[in-house]
Amino acid sequence: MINFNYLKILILSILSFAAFGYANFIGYSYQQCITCHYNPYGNGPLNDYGRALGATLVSSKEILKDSLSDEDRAEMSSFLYGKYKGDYFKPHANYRGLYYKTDIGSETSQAEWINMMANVGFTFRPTKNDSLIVVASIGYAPEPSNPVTGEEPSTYRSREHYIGWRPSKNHGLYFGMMDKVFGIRIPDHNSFSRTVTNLTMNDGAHAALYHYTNKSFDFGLQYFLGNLQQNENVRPSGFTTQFEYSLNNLNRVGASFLSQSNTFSSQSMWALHWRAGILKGSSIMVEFGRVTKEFEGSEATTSEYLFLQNHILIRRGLFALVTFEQFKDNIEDTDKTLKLGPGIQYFPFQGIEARFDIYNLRSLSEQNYSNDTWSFAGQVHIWL
Amino acid sequence: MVIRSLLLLILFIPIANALTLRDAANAYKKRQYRKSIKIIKRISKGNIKFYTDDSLILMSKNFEQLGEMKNANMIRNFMISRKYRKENREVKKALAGKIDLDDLDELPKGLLKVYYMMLSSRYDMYLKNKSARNKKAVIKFAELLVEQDYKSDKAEIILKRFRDEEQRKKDAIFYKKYFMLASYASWQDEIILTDDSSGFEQDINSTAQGTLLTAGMTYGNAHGEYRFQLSVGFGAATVGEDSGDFDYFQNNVGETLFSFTSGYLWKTSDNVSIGVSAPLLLRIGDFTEPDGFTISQGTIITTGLLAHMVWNINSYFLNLEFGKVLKLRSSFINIGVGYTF
Repeated sequence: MINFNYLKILILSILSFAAFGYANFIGYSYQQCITCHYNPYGNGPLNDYGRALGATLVSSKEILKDSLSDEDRAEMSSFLYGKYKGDYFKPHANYRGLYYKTDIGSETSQAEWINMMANVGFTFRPTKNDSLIVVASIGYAPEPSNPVTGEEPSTYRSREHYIGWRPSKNHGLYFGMMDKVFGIRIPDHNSFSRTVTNLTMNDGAHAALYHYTNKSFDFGLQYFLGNLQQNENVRPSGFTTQFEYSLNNLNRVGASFLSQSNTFSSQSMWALHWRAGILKGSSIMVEFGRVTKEFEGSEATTSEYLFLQNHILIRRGLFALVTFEQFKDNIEDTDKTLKLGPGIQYFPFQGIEARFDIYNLRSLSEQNYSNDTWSFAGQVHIWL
Repeated sequence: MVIRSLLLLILFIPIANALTLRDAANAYKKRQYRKSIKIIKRISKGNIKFYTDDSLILMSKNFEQLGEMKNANMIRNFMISRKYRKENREVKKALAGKIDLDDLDELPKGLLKVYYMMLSSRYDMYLKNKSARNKKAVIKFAELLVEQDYKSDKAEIILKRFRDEEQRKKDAIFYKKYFMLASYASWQDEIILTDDSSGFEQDINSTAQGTLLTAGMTYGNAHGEYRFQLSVGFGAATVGEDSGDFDYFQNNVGETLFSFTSGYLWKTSDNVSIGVSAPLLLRIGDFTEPDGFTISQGTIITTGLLAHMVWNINSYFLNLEFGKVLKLRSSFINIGVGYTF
């Protein structure tokens, strides 16, 4: 028997895998994205501090172990492994490739190499304290798995371009194309917390974001018009808000709410999230959320997801991680899907990441039985 | 003539002393410690009061090399009492814990030099005999030198070695801990339905989920731990065949699990462990046998190998196990939250 919900989930899981922020670095006591990124909610280019941190704390030092000290690594962590020079213009380049093999052990198994993104961009900093920034990137991106009907999908696009102004360290205003602020911004855009919520790599929007931060908490309020490159009818617009509070330097709890609609549908959702650092790089991240979607002419349905991801730092640069997810397509049904994904994440050198995950997807239903499926994802990520 | 003779005396005596002291130093270098001591004694005609600081230092080193620590220390104590009696009294108070080390004034370099020698000497002795008394003295002198910022690099290295040594000892101690765990588990069954008349066999599969209650014990140290746990679980399964030739379907089939699991987990940090566990599992399934059919593997005893990870936050922990259990299809997943007593 075929469980169609299950099939839908499987397809969603296959073609939406990219990686941006690393919220798990709370394991190193880094709680706030703005410490390392220009964007206060992570994603996009790293600032100088973030690059230096990536070169020293995060990446392995096995390569050129004897000839490069941590100071040398930090110093050469700028664009194209160069030394820091010039404060105003910071170029960046980013590539991510994914090898994905589905349905392992089955006759229908398929394998594919996908160039997830190949971006170039820059950050313009007319002020030294980053009170004013302009961030833009453009590049190749594969066609989305769920292209909007009636649109000509383009493989070249800008996923972000925005202006940020921080009149003080606490307050920030951002205008332009950017990701929506919601939940834990994790690298795995194939997780239910990103797919079901429509927050994958192609769901960015032209928006205005207000961000407030201090030592204890972050607050964000974002109004978005949707992606202006899309037809007005299908473009979801709305608002989202997020609050995160630090219980201490290793525990951060938060809540998010989003509401959006277009001509044909509306969506509202909330999530509760918790990130815990277990010191020396290890961490736990949990997000629980509900998403209510209503399409024109049909009743609203509410989905529910639980995301749990744990990182264990084995040695500098090398993590073992396990992702456990549970998803209910309709909270009124007992049917649900489990996903378990043990993986390895390795940063052999500044600007290089390799990641390997195996996903075991299981459908639990009182109506039918389905065999588990297994898939493999191997990624290479280079950022310069 | 008299003046000339006096000048010659003033000029030549120190030269003669220095040369002789150099001879003593050369003898020391050649490990002729007795000879070195004799030369020094000859310089000052055996009267310790006329010895220069340099000759006293060399003499104490000679005694130290000969293993005559009592004499070496006596000379150093003499050096201290001769010039730094008052300062030494304050230092003694600080070392005895009567006043804080950081309350001491800046000590003269000459005195610190002697303390440094005492530190080196005591540390060498400690390395030879591992005596607790020497260790205590070394720590005191090292802390003093760090506080006074005199050759503090070496003192800090020594202190760090002691701290590491203490930590190693502490880390090596094995201890027991007990825990309780409530978890969610999911697995897939593989049972066989046999047609009694034709003997035809059909594989029937199920997906099950349930709750496991676990009590366990860990026995380990800072590097790793053995983990033993007893679990009882109750689940419900949806059962169906994977073939169009046959029609068998049941839901909410009750299943009971009993397991004893033992494993070894390596600690990547104080709070995180990763390793493997092997469960010995009894699974009883309440599968319905249709008339004329027999179900086998409804009850199984089996074993497997699971990856096992634990994240501790204070007394609570997140427990995750997954892997392969023989006679079950696909993976066995167990995730829960526990409390360590």
